[in-house]
Amino acid sequence: MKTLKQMREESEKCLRCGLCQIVCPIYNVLGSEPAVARAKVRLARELAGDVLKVTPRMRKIMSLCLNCKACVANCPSQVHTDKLVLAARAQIKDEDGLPFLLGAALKQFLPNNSLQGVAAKSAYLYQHLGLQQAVRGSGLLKAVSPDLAQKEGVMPEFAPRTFRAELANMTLKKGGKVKVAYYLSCMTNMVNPALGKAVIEVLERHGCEVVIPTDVQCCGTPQLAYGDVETAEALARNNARLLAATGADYILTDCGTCGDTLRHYEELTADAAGFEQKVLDVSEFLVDKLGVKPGDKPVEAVVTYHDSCHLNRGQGVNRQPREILKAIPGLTFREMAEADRCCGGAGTFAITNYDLSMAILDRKVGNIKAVNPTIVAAGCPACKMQLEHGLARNNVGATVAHPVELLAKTY
Amino acid sequence: MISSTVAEQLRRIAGKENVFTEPEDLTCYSYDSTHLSALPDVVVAPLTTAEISEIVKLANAERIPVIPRGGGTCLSGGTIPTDGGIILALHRMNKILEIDQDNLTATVQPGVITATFHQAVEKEGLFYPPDPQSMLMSTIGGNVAENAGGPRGVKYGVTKDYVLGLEVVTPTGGILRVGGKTIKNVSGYDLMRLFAGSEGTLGIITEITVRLVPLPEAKRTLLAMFDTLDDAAAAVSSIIKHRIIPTTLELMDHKIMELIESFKPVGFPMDVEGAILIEVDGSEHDVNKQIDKVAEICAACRSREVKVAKDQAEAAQLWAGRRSAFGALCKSARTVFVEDATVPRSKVPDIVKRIQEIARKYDLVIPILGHTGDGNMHPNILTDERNAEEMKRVDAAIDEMFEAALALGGTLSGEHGIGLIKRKYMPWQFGEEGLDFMRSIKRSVDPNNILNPGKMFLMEKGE
Ligand SMILES: Cc1cc2nc3c(=O)[nH]c(=O)nc-3n(C[C@H](O)[C@H](O)[C@H](O)COP(=O)(O)OP(=O)(O)OC[C@H]3O[C@@H](n4cnc5c(N)ncnc54)[C@H](O)[C@@H]3O)c2cc1C
Ligand code: SF4
Ligand code: SF4
Repeated sequence: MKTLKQMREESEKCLRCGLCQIVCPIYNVLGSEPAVARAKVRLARELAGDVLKVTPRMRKIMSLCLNCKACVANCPSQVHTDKLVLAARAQIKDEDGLPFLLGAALKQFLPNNSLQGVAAKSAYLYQHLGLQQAVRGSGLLKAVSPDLAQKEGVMPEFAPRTFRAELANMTLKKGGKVKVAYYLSCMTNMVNPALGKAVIEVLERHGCEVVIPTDVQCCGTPQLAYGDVETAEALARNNARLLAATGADYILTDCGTCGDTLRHYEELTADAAGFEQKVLDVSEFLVDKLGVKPGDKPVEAVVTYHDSCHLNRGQGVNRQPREILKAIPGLTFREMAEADRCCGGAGTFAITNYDLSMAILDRKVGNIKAVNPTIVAAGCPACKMQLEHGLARNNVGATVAHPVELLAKTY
Repeated sequence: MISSTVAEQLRRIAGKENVFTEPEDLTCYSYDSTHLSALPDVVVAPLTTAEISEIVKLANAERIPVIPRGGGTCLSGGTIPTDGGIILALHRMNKILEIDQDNLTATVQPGVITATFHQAVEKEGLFYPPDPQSMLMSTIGGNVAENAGGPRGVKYGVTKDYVLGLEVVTPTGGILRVGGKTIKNVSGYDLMRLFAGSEGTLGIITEITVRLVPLPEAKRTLLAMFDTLDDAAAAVSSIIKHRIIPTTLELMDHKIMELIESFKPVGFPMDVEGAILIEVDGSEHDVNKQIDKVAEICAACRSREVKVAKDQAEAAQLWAGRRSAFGALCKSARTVFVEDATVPRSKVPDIVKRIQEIARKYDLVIPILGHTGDGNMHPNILTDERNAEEMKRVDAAIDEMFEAALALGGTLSGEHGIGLIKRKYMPWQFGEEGLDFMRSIKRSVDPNNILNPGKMFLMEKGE
């Protein structure tokens, strides 16, 4: 990955027109100049030019970015604020290091598949043995810190068994007209194994041979988001090798964020040659490469679709998930306003900047409410988690699902 | 540099979380949409008029400049703190206080984003016409301070034509109210007009009451294409001469359409030298009559083709093209100077010719675009600020352009203001007598030269 110094030219492309103000969700809530893309570009430029240094304030301002790329899409000079922010965070991390717990999470926990299994299990037990209810009800968390109490509320519902554990008992069909490697994301693994099963079923119904290298690790997005480029590069190397070794024609993802990062693996490792063409989102693959064929069981519901930033602006996939939804018998599709606006999730952003994240989320939920759906579809499990939190906190009774999960229901 | 006691006092006035002195924050408030920049000493984001008044009083006691700032989209350098001091960031004062259905007025705080305000009043079936192309990021306060205009200016006028009342913090910290909700008001000097376009030098606008009009029933869009830019410019003058006032009359030359088409294609013709994009609004009946008449006049001015948008979608498409012009320009060059020379409407063909001559003379690429219905031309110089030799030619070309505009009975700025960028031309337009008059106004209300010093003109003679 390029360092901030190497990206200085990029920061000089900014004309300070201010057009990024309109689309930046953070600026929309805070309104102050440091919140907007234009300012982050300027700070990146001064940091690259050694005019400014790494300070806590610099770290804070650079942390105020969802990496949603809305500014990039709207910028007349196509300044890649998203990449500048990541490069700045990398420089900050190099000079300042990471807070201990965060470092441990990024380096040890997320990349470690067996630890993920243990953690998911204990989290599940915590949530389902009444312990969570007890802790929440006791007001203990609030007493310790009101902030912590809120954060606990954003915690995802963990699955009783990880998808990896379930895979051990599943037999995948051999042979088929196309061989696809399905990349296993942390979120599908820990939080939403049902999605994994749905993806396999749908792909097999479309005549694909699905191979799943279970040794793949975390895609590297959280590490990149916190500037830990080294760990991200190591993860990319390992994942790229495993995925390439399957010999599959395509590498498919069901997570918009993982997909976006996998597509850009070539910037992280030489082992990912050709990845940009090979990595496809599962909905893109179904619609563009095979032609989606739903079954005849209707799904009677009203659905609206939320564009995940990394799927839509990151990978340019927005038409295909909608086509899948429209092809599902019984399903009524209703477009919401600002479908492509960030939900404010952005990984741990919802935890580190809870109030800000919720302000962004509430606008999204407002747009959802206006079309009154029973289901909100989203192509990224991280958005799913954030949206579920938003719907619950606004007492909206809709559920959230991946388009492919809905498609699987038709068979 | 300000002393720590000043910072302390500012924290006491505005709350410590609203005062910023770290270099990162100062850097974020060091620029606007020009290429200029300078660091302030401190940034304060007040919430109330009373806080602003106290801040200004403190600034007077300490002799520190105060620079109000809205969206920071100024194209004349108006928010650049050249002498350091306090940047007054007005984004927290962003409430729409009232939309008065009975009087057709609205009252807002200065930090309201212009487009947000448009949406709010249009929801009530009302219309606030001033539409700077930056309306999605500019503030109403900034619009008043710059007296912003836009494409609709030809029919509806500019910001000052809508301001009915203002609350202003004076340069010494007093709080002043002028005007109100009355449509007619001739008591005393017209201070409203004095504040509109004062570029933050005479007062800080803290509340604005504007006049609204009913939302027009219908509108239609037409694109007229011409073999020569001269014919297109002549058609603009001819439409006005025929006493038709469209909502907008936007002239585009070949180059700008080519840039737009390669940036975001909307179907502008590639084989004509000039085109005008025209919108008319009013009652269903009037709109159809007007659009026919406009088409007739264009034909008489040798238009090659006139395309009337058949529905809202087609019209929106054409306007999206026009709006992407700025983006298209930016994409095609490292540095873009958006100029703003304005002439009487009958002189549009003359200024277009002069700009083309100047571009040839200095060997520069200057696509022309303009809200030509009101004579407001935007010649855009595409250049690269790293090329010193070319920048010299750019400077000379700009000088010559303004000379030409003034010679044709025009003005230095139709809407972007003077700020720092056009200060040096002020004596050309006003002479020493005119400038002195302005200086004496400034001096008498702002004896310590606190509010946005150095903008528009220097306080001493000889500049
Ligand atoms: C892409 C683009 C397109 C543009 N198109 C147009 C156009 O079509 N028409 C047009 O007129 N302009 C246009 N502009 C210029 C600019 O947007 C306008 O001048 C706008 O009115 C500035 O508003 P702002 O809120 O950004 O003000 P700022 O840039 O923040 O400030 C502008 C000036 O106003 C002063 N000021 C701001 N708020 C206050 C206040 N409350 N009280 C007193 N002084 C204040 C500042 O000190 C400064 O001198 C354009 C700019 C860009 C970048
Ligand atoms: S839109 Fe792009 S060029 Fe304009 S201010 Fe933002 S980053 Fe800079
Ligand atoms: S990526 Fe999103 S949050 Fe970050 S600056 Fe751009 S628009 Fe704002």
